[in-house]
Amino acid sequence: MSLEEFIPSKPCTFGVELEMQLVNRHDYDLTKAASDLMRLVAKETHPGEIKPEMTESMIELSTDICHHHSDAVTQLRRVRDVLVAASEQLNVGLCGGGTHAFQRWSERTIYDSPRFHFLSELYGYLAKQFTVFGQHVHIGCPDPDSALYLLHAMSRYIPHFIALSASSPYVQGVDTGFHSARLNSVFAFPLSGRAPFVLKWEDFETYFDKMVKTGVVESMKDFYWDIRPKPGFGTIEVRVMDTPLSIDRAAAIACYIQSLARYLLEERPFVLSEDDYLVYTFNRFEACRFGLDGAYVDPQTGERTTLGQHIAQTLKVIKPHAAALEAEAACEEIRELVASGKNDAVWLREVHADAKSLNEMVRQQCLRWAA
Amino acid sequence: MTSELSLFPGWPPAPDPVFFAGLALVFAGLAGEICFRKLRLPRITGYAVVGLVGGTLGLSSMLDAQTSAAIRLLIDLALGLLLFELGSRLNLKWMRSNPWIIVTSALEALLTFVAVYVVLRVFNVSPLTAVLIASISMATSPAVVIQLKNELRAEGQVTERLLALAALNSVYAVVAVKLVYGWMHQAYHSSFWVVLFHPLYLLVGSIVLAFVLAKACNLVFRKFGSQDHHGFVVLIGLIMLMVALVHMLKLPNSLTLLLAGIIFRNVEERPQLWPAYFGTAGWLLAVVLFVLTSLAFQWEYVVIGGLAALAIIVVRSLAKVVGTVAVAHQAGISYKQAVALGFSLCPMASLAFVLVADTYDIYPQFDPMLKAVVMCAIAVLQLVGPLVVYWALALVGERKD
Repeated sequence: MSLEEFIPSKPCTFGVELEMQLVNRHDYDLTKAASDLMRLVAKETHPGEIKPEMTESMIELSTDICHHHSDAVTQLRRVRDVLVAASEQLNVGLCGGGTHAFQRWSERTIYDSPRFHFLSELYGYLAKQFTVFGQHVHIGCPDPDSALYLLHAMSRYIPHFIALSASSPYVQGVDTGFHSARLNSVFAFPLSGRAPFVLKWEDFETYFDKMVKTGVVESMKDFYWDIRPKPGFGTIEVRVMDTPLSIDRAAAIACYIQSLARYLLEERPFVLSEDDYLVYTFNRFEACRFGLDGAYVDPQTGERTTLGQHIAQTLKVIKPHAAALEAEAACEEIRELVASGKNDAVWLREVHADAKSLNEMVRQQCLRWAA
Repeated sequence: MTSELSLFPGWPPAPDPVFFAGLALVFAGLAGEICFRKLRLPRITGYAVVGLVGGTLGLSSMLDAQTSAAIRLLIDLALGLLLFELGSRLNLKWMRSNPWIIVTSALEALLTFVAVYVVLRVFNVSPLTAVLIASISMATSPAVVIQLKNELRAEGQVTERLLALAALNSVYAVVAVKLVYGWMHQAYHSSFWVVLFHPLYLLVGSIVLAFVLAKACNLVFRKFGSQDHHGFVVLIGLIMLMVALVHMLKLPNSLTLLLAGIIFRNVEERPQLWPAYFGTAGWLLAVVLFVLTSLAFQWEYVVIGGLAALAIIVVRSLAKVVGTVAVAHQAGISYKQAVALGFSLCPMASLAFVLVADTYDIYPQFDPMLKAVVMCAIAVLQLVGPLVVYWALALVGERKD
C-alpha cells in the first residue's frame, strides 16, 4: 500500500480529538460502556464525531474543521453535553485525564471490532496497558512540504504541549512522580518517537514505501509518532498531549498550537536541521517528569530555561499571530496557566492530598469535565 | 468430685453444632468448587445443593429451638450485610437523570404481583395468601444478585440495572408484606390500633433506624478513610449492632439494612466504598446463608404447593421480562439487554425465606400453603436462578469469569 495523496487544506484551520475515560459511578474505576454510549448518542445530532476506541472503557470525540478558538469551544461543549447526557442515562461517568488513576489493565475488555482484536493480538499486554487517553490536534497545511516543515519546526515545542496538558500523575494506583506518565506507555511501542528528518514530500514517500516493503507497517496509522502527517486530511497531527480535565483547557491548548503553527508557517523562523533533535528526548523527558518546572534546552542556542519561562517567552513572540487568528483568549488562558504553575497533574495531586482517596479524585475529575 | 469416667467421651460421642457447621462448610465449599471448576456453574448453585441434601436428610428437624433461633440470627446477619451492600450501590441520582429506571422497576414489580396473584387464584389459593405470595414474588434475591456480581466480576448496563432493580423490588416486597400484615391483623385481631399502627411502626421504625445506622457508618468512614481495614472492623460491628437492635425492636431486618445502605450511599457525594472489604468474611457468611436457606426445604411442601410454585416461577419470569422489555428503548438499553435483564431478575432465595418465616413468627397457624409454595419456588430458583443470571450475563458479554 502506498501513501495517501496529500490533500491540501486551508492553513491554520484545526481539529481536536479527545480520548475520554468511561468510569462507573460506584467506585469510579473504568467500566464497560462504549457500546451502550455509542448506541445512545447515535440518535443525537452534534458537530464532529463520536467514535469507539480500543477498549470498552474509552470513547473518542472530535470536532469538525475549526477556524477559531470560539468554534472549538462551541463544538466541544456541544459534543460534551451530548455525551454527558447519554452517560447519565447509563449511570456512567465521563472524564479527562491521560491515565486512569487506579485501573488494573488486566481487567480491560477490547472493543469488538476486527482492527482492535488484531492490535490486541499483535501487541499483547501492551495493547491493554495502552489504556491511556490523549488529545490530538490536527493543523491544516497548504501543501505537503509545508506540512513537513511545520512538523519538524513544531517538534521543538513538543515539551510545551506535554507540560501544559499533563494530567496523568497516577498509574495503577500509585503516584509515578511524573506529570505525564501516559507517554511512558506510548514509548513502549516499537514505532513511537519522531518522524524521520525529511523535508521534501517525495523523500517522505520514499521512506514510507521502504517501511511498507519491510512489512513492518501498512499505513500511517501504524506509526505512533509524537507528530505525524495525515495526508488524507492535509494536516499534521500533534499527539503528545494528555486529555486535559476540561473542555476549555483542551480548546486553549489547541489554539496555542494553532497560533504557533501560523507563526512557524508565515515567518519560517528556523533553518531546520537533524541536529535540532539532539535535545529532543531530553526536553521531552523533563516535561513528562517535571511539567512546567522541567528544564528546557533550546535546540539552536543551547540556552537553558524552565519550560514555564520558555512558554511565557513564546507567547510573546506569537502574540500577533494569535491576534490574527482570534486566539487571544486561548493564549491568555495558557499564560495564566503558566503563571500559576498549576497544570492538571498538579490539580490532581492536590485533590488527592485533600481527599485521600483516588476514587474521590476521579469523581472530581468527572465533575470538572461536565462543568 | 466428678467421676473419672466423665473425662472420657461417652459412646457414641455427641457432636455439637460446631461439628455440623464445619461439616456443612466443608461440603458446601467442595460443592461450590466442583460446580465452578468442573461444571462451569456458579458456586452458589453448589451451596444450594448441599442445603437441599441436608434438608432432605432431615438435618433441619434435628435442630433444637435454641439452635434454630441462633440460625435465624445468623441468616439475618448474613442477609443484612448483603442487603446493606446492595443498597449502597443504588445511585438515586441516576434515577433522577433516567426516570425510566423507576418506570421499569415499577412495571416489572407490578406485572409480577398481578401475574402471580392471578395464577395463585386459579390454583384456588386463598386471597390473603395469594397477596402475600405475590408480594414476596416481586423481590429478586438480593443475596444471589450481589454474590454473583462479585463472583463473576460482572460489569455493564445489565449488571448495573440488575442491582438497581433488585434493590428496588426488594423494598417493594418488604413494604407490601408489612402492609398485608395490617390486613392479617384484621382477620386475627379486631383492635383497630394494631391494624393501623403495626405496619406504620414497622415502616417508620425501619426508616429511623436505617438513617441512624447510615449516618454512623458515614461518620466512621470519614474518620478512618476508605483504605483502612481497621475501620472496617468498626463498620462490621455497627451492622451487627443494628441487626441486634432490629431484633430487639421487632423491626424488619431486611428493610432496615437495605434502606441503611441506600442512605449511606446517597447522603454523601464522596464514593462510600467499604462493602468491597467484605472479602473472605463476607463470602463465608454468604455461603452459610445459601446453605441455610435451602436447608429449610422439606419434600412434603412439593405435595402441597409444588405445582403452584412451578406456575408462579414461569409467570413471574415472564412478567419480569415483559416489564423490562416494554420500556427498554426509553430506558436506554437494547432489546437483547432487556431480555437478559428480565431473566436475571428471576432469582428468589433468602429474602423470600425470611419474609415467610416472619409471617409464621407472628401467626404460627397461618395457611401452610404460603410456606409450601414459596419454599418450593426457592428450592428451584436457588438452583436455577444463578444459572439463568450466569447465562444472561454471558449473553450480553458482561461476565468476566
